[in-house]
Amino acid sequence: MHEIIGSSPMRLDGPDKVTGRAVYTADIHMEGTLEVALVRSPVAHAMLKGIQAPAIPDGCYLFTAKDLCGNFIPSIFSEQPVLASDHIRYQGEAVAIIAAPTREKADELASEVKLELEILRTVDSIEEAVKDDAPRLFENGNVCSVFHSDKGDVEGALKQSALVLEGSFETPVQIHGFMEPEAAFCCLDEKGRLAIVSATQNAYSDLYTAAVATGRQNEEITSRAATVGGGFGGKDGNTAQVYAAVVTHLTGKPARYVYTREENIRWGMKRHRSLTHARVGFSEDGHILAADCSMLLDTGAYALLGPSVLGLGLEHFTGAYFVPNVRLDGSLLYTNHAPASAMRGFGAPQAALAFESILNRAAKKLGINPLEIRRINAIHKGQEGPMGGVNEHETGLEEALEKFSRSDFYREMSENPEKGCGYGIAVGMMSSGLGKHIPDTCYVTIDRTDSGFTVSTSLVDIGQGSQTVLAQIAAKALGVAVDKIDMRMGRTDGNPDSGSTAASRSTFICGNAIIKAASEILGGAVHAQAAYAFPEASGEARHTYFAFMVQGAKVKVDPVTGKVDVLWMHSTTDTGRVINPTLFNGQVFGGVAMSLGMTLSEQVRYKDGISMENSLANYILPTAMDVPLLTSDFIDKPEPSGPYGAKGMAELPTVAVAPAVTAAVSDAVKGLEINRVPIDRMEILRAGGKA
Amino acid sequence: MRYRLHIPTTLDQALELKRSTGGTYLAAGTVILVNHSHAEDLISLEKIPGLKSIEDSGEAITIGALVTFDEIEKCRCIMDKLPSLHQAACLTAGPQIRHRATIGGNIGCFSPASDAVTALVALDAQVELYDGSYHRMPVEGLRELKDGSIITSVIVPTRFCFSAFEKVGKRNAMSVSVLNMALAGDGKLFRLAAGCTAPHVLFCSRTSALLSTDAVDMEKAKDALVSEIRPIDDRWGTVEYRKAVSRNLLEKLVSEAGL
Ligand SMILES: Cc1cc2nc3c(=O)[nH]c(=O)nc-3n(C[C@H](O)[C@H](O)[C@H](O)COP(=O)(O)OP(=O)(O)OC[C@H]3O[C@@H](n4cnc5c(N)ncnc54)[C@H](O)[C@@H]3O)c2cc1C
Repeated sequence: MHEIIGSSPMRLDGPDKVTGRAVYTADIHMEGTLEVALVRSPVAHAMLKGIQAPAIPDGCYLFTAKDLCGNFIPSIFSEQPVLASDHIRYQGEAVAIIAAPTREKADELASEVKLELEILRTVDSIEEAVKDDAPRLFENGNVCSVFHSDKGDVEGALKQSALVLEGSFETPVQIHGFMEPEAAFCCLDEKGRLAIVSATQNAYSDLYTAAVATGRQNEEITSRAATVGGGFGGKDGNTAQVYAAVVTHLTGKPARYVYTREENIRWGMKRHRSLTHARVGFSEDGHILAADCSMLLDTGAYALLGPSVLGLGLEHFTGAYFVPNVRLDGSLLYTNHAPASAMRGFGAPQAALAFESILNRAAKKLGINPLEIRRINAIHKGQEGPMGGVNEHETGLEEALEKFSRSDFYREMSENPEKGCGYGIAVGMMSSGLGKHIPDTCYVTIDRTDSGFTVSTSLVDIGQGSQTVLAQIAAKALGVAVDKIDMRMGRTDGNPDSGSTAASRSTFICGNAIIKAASEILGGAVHAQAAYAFPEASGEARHTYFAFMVQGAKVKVDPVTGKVDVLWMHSTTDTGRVINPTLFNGQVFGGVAMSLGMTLSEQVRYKDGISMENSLANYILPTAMDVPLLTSDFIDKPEPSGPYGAKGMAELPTVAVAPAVTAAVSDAVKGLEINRVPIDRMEILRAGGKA
Repeated sequence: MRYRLHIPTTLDQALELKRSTGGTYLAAGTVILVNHSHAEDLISLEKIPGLKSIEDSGEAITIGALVTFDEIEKCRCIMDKLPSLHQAACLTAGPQIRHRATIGGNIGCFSPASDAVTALVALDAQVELYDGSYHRMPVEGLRELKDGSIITSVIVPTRFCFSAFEKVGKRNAMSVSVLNMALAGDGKLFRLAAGCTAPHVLFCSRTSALLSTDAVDMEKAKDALVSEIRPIDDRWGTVEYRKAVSRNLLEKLVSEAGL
């Protein structure tokens, strides 16, 4: 039998997806299904004084906060209501649920509901949120959470630095841009339980949210993921689920709620807009002596996972380097925007734009090659991280830099650059696992069957291909071929809570749980359940281990229009052992394309709390004509704690794209320093004397 | 949205339906169906014969209103004789939309961002309209369709030995123009048109006049252009950006024309 680990068998979900047999949430239909629409606030900030409902015809329903048993969505702070009942904090916030036999009818009724509103002044940006006279979203003000960490003597080290570089950086609100919009279906099963089926990254979280809103016990609800058409963080937590669940609970009828694309763009979760101010001190020979960072994030109207995003972003600020003196400060701010939450990279891309840009400028000023300045500062196993705490795991950054230096890309960049083009390099680092103090355990059950084995877990494959990778791990562990493994994922029924498909954790944590359960099966059991908990980080560090990526970018800039054409993105990754090279490349290429969008064109902008972008015609995702030549390789440095040596890597490819591209643009347009993405073409025109 | 769809088979039937229902003509629908028009009656032009041909008379190429951008893209005589229109077609939307979208619809939606219209205005093209009888009007001055007129074709003169089209979008396909510009010249007289710089595609008469003189003063021409256009700040771009790029594109087109 050929080696399973390190090979790329066909995706297990591939045939169903390409033939259209895969069942997404919106495909589920049951006789008598009610379609759901929400009555959403037309304004961004107001007090709700009353709701005037039209006559609701037979067979149609209207529910408000009064109909809910509990009116909050469980999360870090749990301050977000299911339905606003007094204070409206963003345009589009749900105020009432309408259910009707067709979506058209539900929309029509929703549009006839009149809200009595006392309009309040809008907090339309981070900059406004921090002002003394800003309107307050909550009694305690607009600061949702803060983060602070101090290691060593930052000011002292900055004074002793031969070079101190400083800058203010900005990244936009980005959407996840998944193909399948948010969707949920709910019905009562034969036992009278609420049965939720949805586009979700976490079946259990949907169950808990529905339990709060309906007052049911957890045992009276089941939840499972349908085929999910992408998540990237935007389906990690409640979107449509609770509304369908409430309707079924209150009517006994099946209910379905599928977001329109406009709802997705306007009111789906977001990547946090960021403002980052950074100072970094260097010795003459390029060693990083101190780093000082303060970061402000726009979480919109509610926290959701924002506090964790802020912490992770700051923890990743100094990136892949050993820095003796580090101060990290951050605030997560409430504004009257739709809530931001998790998005692939989880704060790290925002931080990397600041740090990697400064690092590139320092290299230039000190006359050091951009790979070399990274090599001499690269963090090693056994060194201390930015918040203290020793990095105990394999770090392959140096090897990755070395391999990158032998690539065709780097050879062209350093020896034979194409005329009129610019080249840039950046490094990304990304943790894996939910982080300290957050329960992070995965449960796997293996059963021996007549035809092989079933492997079950509540973790969801949201389209990234974990089903296939986990089947490979199970096959290897059980000593059988991949086709003997029947993966059953994404159900609460019969599976303990394994948490979310998030934090680049599935392969690592579930892979380890599979190996554990498989060892019991190999010992003779026909049924085995195993739990694997993410190892805790040492000291003050939040995360245990990291994966690394060296990213190169080649661009061409049009001096007439200021347009940037990205021509080539090449990367070298250290993610321990690569289990499935094809799926690995899928993650790399998809992640790079996703961050190219943020770098060049994607953004949601607000005017009086209303987003200017509301469709895929004006929210500018890259098309196939915009995605450049993508090449990728990796080093093979097994992480001993990983399943067959693997580390998580799904978020990593988003991290270093923006600073690599902006560095390449600076290389093409001499004298231009870019601190803000998406890149403003006016900056390029001005730098080129063409404006 | 629910519509009543009418499928007339002659121009007169279509006119009659327009007058009796107050409905909207439907070509490919890539504008009206996408923009959720509130029209209750749609009058499809699809089955009316004679609106889908491309004919080269030597002096002009006549393009039927229902000719798609995909057909223009692949048409040899347009490629050879009307390179700016060909380029505008190639840069419109993406392959799927080009396969459906019609040149008549591009004119009929009266958008300041209609790429082909910019090329047509610079090429001094005329539309043929039918309102019971046939009329001709320059594309340049057309702001509305009176009395239910149907666009039957566009007549594009081939006298310009030079023509070129430039489009600035936010991405490389499926992109609304932030700005577009076309220049056509017969060796002596030049015509410049710009899109997304006014409520309608603009024929830049003063700039065109300056370009049609013996010794072209480029700075003067650029200044004239910037004073002629009336761009606004919108989600696609700012006034500042549109003015700067207008100057730059003019310079680029003029240098391509060898002026
Ligand atoms: C994703 C996308 C991308 C796009 N990108 C571009 C682009 O890059 N550049 C660009 O210029 N446009 C673009 N468009 C707009 C559109 O595709 C074009 O303007 C197209 O030419 C419209 O043609 P149609 O046949 O679809 O018109 P329709 O939608 O059928 O009609 C448009 C209007 O014209 C009227 N009309 C149509 N035909 C006639 C006629 N013969 N007589 C009288 N009135 C008529 C209709 O009543 C209607 O008011 C894009 C559209 C989409 C959806």
